[in-house]
Amino acid sequence: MNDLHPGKLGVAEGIALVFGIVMPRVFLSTVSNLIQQDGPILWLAMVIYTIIPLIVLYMMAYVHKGITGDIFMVCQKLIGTIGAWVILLSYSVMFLSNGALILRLYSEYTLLTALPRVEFQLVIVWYAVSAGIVCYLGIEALTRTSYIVMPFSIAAIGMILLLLVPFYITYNLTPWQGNGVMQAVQTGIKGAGYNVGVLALIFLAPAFQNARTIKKAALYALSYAGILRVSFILVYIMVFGTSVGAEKTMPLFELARLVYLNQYLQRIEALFIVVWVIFGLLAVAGSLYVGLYLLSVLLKLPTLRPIVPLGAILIANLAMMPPDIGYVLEVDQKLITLFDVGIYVFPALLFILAWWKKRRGKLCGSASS
Amino acid sequence: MWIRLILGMMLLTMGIFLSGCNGARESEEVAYIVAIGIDKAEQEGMIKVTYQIAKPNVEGNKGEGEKDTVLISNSAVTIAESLNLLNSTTSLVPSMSHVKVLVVGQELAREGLANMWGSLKRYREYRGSMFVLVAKGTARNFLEANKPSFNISASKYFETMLDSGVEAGYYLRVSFHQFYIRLKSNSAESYATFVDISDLTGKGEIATPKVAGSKVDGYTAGGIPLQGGNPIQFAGTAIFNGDKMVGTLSTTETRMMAMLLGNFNNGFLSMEDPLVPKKFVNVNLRLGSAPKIKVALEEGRPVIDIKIRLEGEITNLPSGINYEQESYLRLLEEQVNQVCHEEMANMIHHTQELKSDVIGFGYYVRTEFTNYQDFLQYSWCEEYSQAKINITIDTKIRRTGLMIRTYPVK
Repeated sequence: MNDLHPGKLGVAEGIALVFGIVMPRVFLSTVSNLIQQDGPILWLAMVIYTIIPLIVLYMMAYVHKGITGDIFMVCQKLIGTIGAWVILLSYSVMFLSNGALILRLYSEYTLLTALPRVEFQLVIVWYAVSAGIVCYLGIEALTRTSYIVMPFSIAAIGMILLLLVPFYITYNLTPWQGNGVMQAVQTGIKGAGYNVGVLALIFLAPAFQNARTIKKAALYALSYAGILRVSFILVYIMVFGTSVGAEKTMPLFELARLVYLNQYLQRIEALFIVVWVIFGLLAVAGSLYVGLYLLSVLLKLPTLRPIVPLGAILIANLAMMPPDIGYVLEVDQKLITLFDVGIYVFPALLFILAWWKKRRGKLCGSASS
Repeated sequence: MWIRLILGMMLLTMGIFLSGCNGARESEEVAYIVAIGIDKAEQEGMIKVTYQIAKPNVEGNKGEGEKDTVLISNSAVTIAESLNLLNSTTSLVPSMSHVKVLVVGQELAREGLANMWGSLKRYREYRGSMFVLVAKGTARNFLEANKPSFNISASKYFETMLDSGVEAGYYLRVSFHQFYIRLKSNSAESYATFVDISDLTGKGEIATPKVAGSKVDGYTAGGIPLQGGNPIQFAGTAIFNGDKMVGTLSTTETRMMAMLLGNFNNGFLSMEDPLVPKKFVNVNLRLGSAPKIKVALEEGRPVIDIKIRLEGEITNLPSGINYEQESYLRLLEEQVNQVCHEEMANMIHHTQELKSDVIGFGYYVRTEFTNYQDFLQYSWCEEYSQAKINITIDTKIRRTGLMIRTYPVK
């Protein structure tokens, strides 16, 4: 067993890994863009885009079942070497670009909220180096750190949502159909790609104890993320309404900033900046790790450590490329198409091939007997 | 081993150089602005911005008569430019992160605030928790006249003053967030606390005369008969249609508005004694439950059904009539119902005339629509002025204070 496949990771680590990769978008402008599209019914889209990745993961678990080896071997057996290269390289690009995008957005928001006078490049480098160090320490260090941080993060977000009770206007959730049920379903289906991170469990399958661990981890991670996301969306819409909600660059930060219970309980957002910075850091590290892991598998490297600095430099440079925040948000909206390929096209293709091969194997077996 | 050492060194170095202390400023280097006043400037197209800046070294050891703040005004095209100009007149770096109140002069508020509000919401130093006040005269005069009677800082004064509004319901605390979301919503109109300076002569100016059965007139800020103390008054509400101020609600109207918003904590109601109208009765009222409001569309016309449940405690019965008894108590409860009903109906009618749904009945009508786009096309602001209003007030006087009966004075 090499450095890439420790085989010791359990359910908790799996939950932390997936939760860490898929959750941070709640803190970013994605929610504001989605509210503009869907209106008060956005929660339905959130439910849909939590369920779809779970189905996809179970499909991929089916693909993995009965074929031993890492994801490259699985793809190779089903679709050939070139096909496996195309698929895994695409996933690697997805995870690395996701990491770069989150890195850029978190750096921008750090400048906007906490350190307005710091040089932008310095923040990017700071995040990239930190993510690189976490990544270098390995998947166990990464997932266990995430698992330690996770309950505090959930509790912190839960606390913000509760402290805002005086600002809730429940009627903001009406008209209940928002901009249309079909529109929400469409957003849910289209947005499922944002949860492509759940496939990290399949890619890193040899690092986990067994298939049951992976399924359980995916179920819990997506459920936690889904519940938190839906609660967040409901509260966000109740507090800001559809029009103002669509204006915000940083939804969670704005919510935390609004907490005002009395003279003594206010201005608590500074505490939450720490939470979302750690969250963002782990998300970047997680995406970087999975992206580099896939490259290591393709290149048959015994360890990914030597390419971690390169990966960190790569995503830092990618993150610095867009000239302004508007362009970054535009890229974010366009990147979803790529993620959707990762969540629908490849898993569907692999699933159909695996199902067909297993069926053909059965038919051949019964014919020969 | 070497890698760990290098990593450790890197982390340590980053910890020292990236901790943010390089950009830190001592508090005496920063001009903490506690209040911003915005008025229309004499020059065309410009605004006059007044900053009330805290003197950090005065906090805690303020001498008698010494002011803990300074007022600086300048005229500029925008608030941002005004901040640039402020920087040229003070050695300290202006900081808006501790602004407690935003005071707008009535003249400017009537012309519209849309151009200013956007920048305030976008720039990180302004917070949604700032409170919005509209001054009857100018914001500058209001801030200048503010001389808190007790030795508290300006920021604490504003905060405690606005917190204590719930004690009578005669003025409401409105945060910038609340103001702004209504500005962008199709469901309600914005409102702000109305403030003014009293001439301290003890002469008042009635804004809304007492209704039948009541002993209390409504005032707006500046009109309350007052002598001594801080000359500034918080009373009533400035109401808006879109971004323009269209009128004011008096103290009694604001209390009714507080009831409908579910923000009415408690307050005394002074009314005529039902059996001896020349005498009065005092009841301390509070909301018994959240107001129940339903808005239905009947042939396109909104019908608003309001049910308010009040709970009260008798606090004064000069007539000596035994209202504590169950049979008499009903009379008292009916009297409260009648007074509140009339005051509430008048208040709603007033807002209908001004086409300003400050209560937010528009939120309740949203349930009548299934699609958000349909709701956006429905012109609530216009429809509200034609709405039919049904009010039911149900009062239950639960307690009789520290006395269970009253003997008449011989």
